[in-house]
Amino acid sequence: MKKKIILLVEDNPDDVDLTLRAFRKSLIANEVVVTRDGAEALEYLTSTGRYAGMTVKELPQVVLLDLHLPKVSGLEVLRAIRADPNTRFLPVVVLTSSAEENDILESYGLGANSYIRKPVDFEQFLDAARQLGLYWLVLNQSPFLDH
Amino acid sequence: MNFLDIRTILIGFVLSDIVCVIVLASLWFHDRGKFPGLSLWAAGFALQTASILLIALRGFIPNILSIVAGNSVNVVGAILLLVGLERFLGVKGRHWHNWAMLAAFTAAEIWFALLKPVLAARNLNISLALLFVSAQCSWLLLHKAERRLRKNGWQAGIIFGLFGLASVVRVFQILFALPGNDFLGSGWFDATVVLVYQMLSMALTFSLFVMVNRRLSESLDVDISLRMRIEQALRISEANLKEAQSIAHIGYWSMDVKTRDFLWSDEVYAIHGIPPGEAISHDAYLQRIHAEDRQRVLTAMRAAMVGLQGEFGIDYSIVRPDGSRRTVALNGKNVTDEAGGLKEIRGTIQDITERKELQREIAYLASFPTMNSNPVIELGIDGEVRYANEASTEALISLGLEPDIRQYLPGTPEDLSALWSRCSTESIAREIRLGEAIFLLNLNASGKDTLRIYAIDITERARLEAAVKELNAGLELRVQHRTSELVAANAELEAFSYSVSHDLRAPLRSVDGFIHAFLDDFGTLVPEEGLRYLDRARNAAQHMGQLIEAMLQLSNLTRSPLQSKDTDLSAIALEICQELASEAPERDVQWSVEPGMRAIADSRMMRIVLDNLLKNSWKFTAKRERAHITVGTLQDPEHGSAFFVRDDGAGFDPKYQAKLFKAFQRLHGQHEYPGTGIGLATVQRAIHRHDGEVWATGEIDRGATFCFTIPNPHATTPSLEEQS
Repeated sequence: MKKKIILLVEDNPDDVDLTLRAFRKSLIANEVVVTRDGAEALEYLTSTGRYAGMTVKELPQVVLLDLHLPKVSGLEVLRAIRADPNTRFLPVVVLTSSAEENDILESYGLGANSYIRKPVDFEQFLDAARQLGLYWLVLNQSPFLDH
Repeated sequence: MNFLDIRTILIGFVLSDIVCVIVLASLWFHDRGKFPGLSLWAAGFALQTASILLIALRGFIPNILSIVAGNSVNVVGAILLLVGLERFLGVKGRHWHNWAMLAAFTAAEIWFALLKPVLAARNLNISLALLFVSAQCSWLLLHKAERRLRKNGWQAGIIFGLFGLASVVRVFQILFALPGNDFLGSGWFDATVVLVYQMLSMALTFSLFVMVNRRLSESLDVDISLRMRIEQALRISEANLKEAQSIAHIGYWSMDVKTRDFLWSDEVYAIHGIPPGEAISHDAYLQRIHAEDRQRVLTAMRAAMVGLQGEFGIDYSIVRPDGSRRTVALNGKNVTDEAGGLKEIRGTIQDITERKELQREIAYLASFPTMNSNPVIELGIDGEVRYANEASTEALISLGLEPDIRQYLPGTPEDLSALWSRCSTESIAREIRLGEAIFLLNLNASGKDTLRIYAIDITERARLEAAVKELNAGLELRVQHRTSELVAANAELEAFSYSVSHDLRAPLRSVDGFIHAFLDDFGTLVPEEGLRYLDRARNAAQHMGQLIEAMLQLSNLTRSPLQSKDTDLSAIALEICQELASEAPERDVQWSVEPGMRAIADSRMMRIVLDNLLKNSWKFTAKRERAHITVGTLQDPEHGSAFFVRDDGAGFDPKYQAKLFKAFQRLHGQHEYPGTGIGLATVQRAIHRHDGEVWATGEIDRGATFCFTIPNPHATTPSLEEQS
């Protein structure tokens, strides 16, 4: 069984490092692809732009999406993912600092599978990362049956 | 030998006739002014007496005297008697035929007495002449005269008739037995005739006397009844006059110029309040005049008395003996005697108190439009200005306009009556512009053909209204401006909240995360004290995270819409208590939540309220070995039905009560009871959004009670009627 890819869409390098650390500490060894903005994330998913001409690769097991992103916002990325028949069923977990009701409602409205608020306390974050990995990488049955 | 001596009889006749003449003369003398014709009667009888005397003197005097003159005078006397009767009875008659008869008679007498003496012819002549006259007299009295007079004179008429009859009998006697030529010796028949004539003459005198007296008494009756009627009319007239005087309160008076005494009619007495009939001297009269007016009246009177004024009139006040004051109008004129000297002053006096009062009342009422500072105008529908108060013209003058009111009023003469009928149902308001000024005219129909116009200068009002309008427009703009500013500020606040929630927390996470990573990776290299410092840094970062969280909650409360519904507060409270208890199972806290507490409220906010309050209680009872926390309801004297959360924890100093609900205001040190200082502010905001009240009571170390009210939004506000 191939290692499943996690796509992390996050512009804050601190958050990227801490997220990666949390996964490492939680013994999640999957490949984590980090894209720094929404546009890059979409390019990756559609193999266009910077990722054009890349060898055909499988879609990530789960997308961890920050909402507050430069260029293309997280919500727009989500809308684009759901609009594209190829990525329509891709599990997307919103991972953000915002606890705004609007953000939560809009995310679910656009078809987010889960909404996790990044806690300030790193211990709690570690806990969250651990559970996230367990659930989405192990327990959850992917819609892509050919893998 | 004759049985009767005619001469003796004739002498007796003369004597009795003299008596008759005296009677008739006295009749004439007494009543000559009353009835005409009496003198002719006396004259007629006197002539008859004379004629009989002449006849009786036959033989002693020439025949021409005794026979011609005697008989002719007799006939003349008869004619005079006839004329007298006509005059007495008011009948106009002509007498040419009588005078012609007299002439013929006299001629025949002369012929038969002097030229060819025939006694029978003479007797026939005189008999026919007397028959002629006496028949006329009888006809006059019995038929020709007025019926009214006839009834007094019918006896005389019959006597004349008998005279006539006697003459007829004599004529027949003469025709059948011609007498001799000596009258005095003509025998018993003629003597009897003379006696009959004598008797009839006396009877005639008597009947004439009766006739006159009857007529006299009749006219006396007429006089009396006429007089009574006149007196009656006079009495009625006097009574009417008196009544008219008392109705009109007008009396008449006169003053004798010499004695200066007054003669007053009853009404003048009544006006002065003095019993009628009392003598009024000049001084007594002056006494009744009010002191203020006395001199004036006196002057007018004097002017009249010296003839300076023919007629005069003066109004003044009098004081009645009972002290009441009346106003009178006195009119007078002077009256001169035949010689042209001033005799008296005469005139009327009228009580005009009521009229004067009415005049004063009218003047008082009239002062309202007159003194009104706003124009008041009455305009006829013929276009004529009937009334305009001073303010009307003053308004025009002060505006520098021609003070001709008509040209500024609405309505041409043609449509004024149409305007009137429109006003007659409801008054009409119109604005007119006069130069710089604006007037509001209120038009009302008045009477049959006039319009009342009340005008108000609304220049200032119009100016103010315009200013207010302008101000309002400006205000509208400002409100719009402010609203857009507010919208922008709100948007900014939204953006700020978003940034706080997202951007501020990220660096905190980094701080916490990297310290954690550092400790994790290099913890063993750091001395004990360094580890403690790093721990405190992490605590600080986490505390800041809590602060941000609390602030966000506070701002969310303000921004999110209120969704009120029936909410079970007891259930929420119980849930929170259980959560708290499960988080710290080591603590011994006695919970008491009153069941069935409900409110129409936003359940999310109610959860925030109860969460904050219960956590507060939980926190401040941490140092109690055994704590009590109660949630329930109470009746507050000021706020009514309220919910409360009570604990027996640390309490607070009541003097800091005001600071309790202020954001970031804390009454306890962070080391003692950690907290954000925003919880109670959040509670207050949530309650205020429900239009409720929140307050707290407490003492240091004796616990605290937090109360709040949630008014029922559906409960109707009691109306004023119900309150009273």
